[in-house]
Amino acid sequence: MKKEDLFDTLGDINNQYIKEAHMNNKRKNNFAWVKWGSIAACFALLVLCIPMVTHLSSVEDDNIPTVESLPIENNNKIENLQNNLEESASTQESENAEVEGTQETETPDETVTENIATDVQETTVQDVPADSKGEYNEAVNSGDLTKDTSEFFGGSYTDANGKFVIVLTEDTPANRTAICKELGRNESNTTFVKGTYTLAYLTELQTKISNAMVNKELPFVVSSALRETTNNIVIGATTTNEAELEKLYALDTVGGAIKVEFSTGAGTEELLLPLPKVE
Amino acid sequence: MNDKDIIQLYFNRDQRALSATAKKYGKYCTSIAKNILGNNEDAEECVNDTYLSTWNSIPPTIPTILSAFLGKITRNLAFNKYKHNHVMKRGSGEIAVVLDELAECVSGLDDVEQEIDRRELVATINSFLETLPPKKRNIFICRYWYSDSVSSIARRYEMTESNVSVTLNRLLSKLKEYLSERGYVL
Repeated sequence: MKKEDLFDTLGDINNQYIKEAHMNNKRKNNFAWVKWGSIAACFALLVLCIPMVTHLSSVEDDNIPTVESLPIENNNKIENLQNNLEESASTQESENAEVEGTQETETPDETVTENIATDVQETTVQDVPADSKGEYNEAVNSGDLTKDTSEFFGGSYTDANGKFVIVLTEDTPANRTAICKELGRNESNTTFVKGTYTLAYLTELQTKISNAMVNKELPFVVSSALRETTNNIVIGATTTNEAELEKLYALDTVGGAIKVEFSTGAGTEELLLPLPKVE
Repeated sequence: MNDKDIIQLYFNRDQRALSATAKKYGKYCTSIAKNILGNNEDAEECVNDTYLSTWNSIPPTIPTILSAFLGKITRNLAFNKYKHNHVMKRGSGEIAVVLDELAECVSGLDDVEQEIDRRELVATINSFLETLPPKKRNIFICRYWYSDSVSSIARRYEMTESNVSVTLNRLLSKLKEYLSERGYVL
């Protein structure tokens, strides 16, 4: 055989594998976009906030009346007010100096600006579902895990609120700690939900279904998707005939992991009848 | 628009199927063709041929996974064009290096004595791929199906280029061993 023939032959491999590799590429690219987008957003916030806060502080300073500019009867009150302001500013300064241990001559304005900027940055970062390395790898393959954790790991995803969710078939403190350690996640920032099936089992089932589809054993199946959010496999089928569907259910050795949704298929039934050819 | 709707447009012989396909999978097909052909003009031509071929295939064919269906057509057309260009001595995509790597698995002789059943061989390769961990399988497919460059795979999987090369080399050796154990001397 020639190398060109082998390349040609490789072209006919399982569609599911081709799709998986493509989806993986896309997912990585999307996460890269989210990652850099978040960093850019944080930077933009910093750039916007620093001048804004500095400006507000200087406006406030300009509005503080001096003792000399006010009528004498109010001098005592104003003097007290100014003393209070100075005291609070110096207290703030000394607190910051204690924390940082260095900047003794820092002005109150700068300190406030820096504190606010830091707060903004921290808040923004906390809202993004990133791991300790700042990565966005919520897609975890069952094959990437150790045998121990894959026995109770049911999948993972990021929910609508941006929280990282881990599905566990046995939701125990020990399992939570073990899976978080393996995935490099902070347990306190992770939501845990109970699932029935392990990701390893669902992946294996999905592969079985894909192979059966390729071998034309399930001509009524038009789509098959592993859904980590619902912890099952969702099948699009052009039939509701229980006898036919039984062939599909037989692949699910545990039972209940397949949810069938009726689909009209790619074409209408008349179109399917003469030549129900699957690629 | 989801894949089912796009396929329905093909069945209805609605020409919007082509624009919908181009919108959703145009870049995907172009990247496959460009990896093989190495230049934009040929890749664009190849992608247009893919749309035409898809139009002629659906119906009666019903793709189970539209992206893979389009990808396969693009890959075949691009590879045919590559072979044509190669004879004409023009074009230089990633494919030349990919083919050299694959040469390790084959004898390079014509199949005169041994007539290999292509479908059986594909099934055996599929069963080999099934034995691999998902990450390694994806790396293999990125290289030998999508013809992605080693550097882009390394970036995507956060590995060094040499690590990717070593992984691919080992996977090819494993494939060769797997096939020869099952009686395939390619």
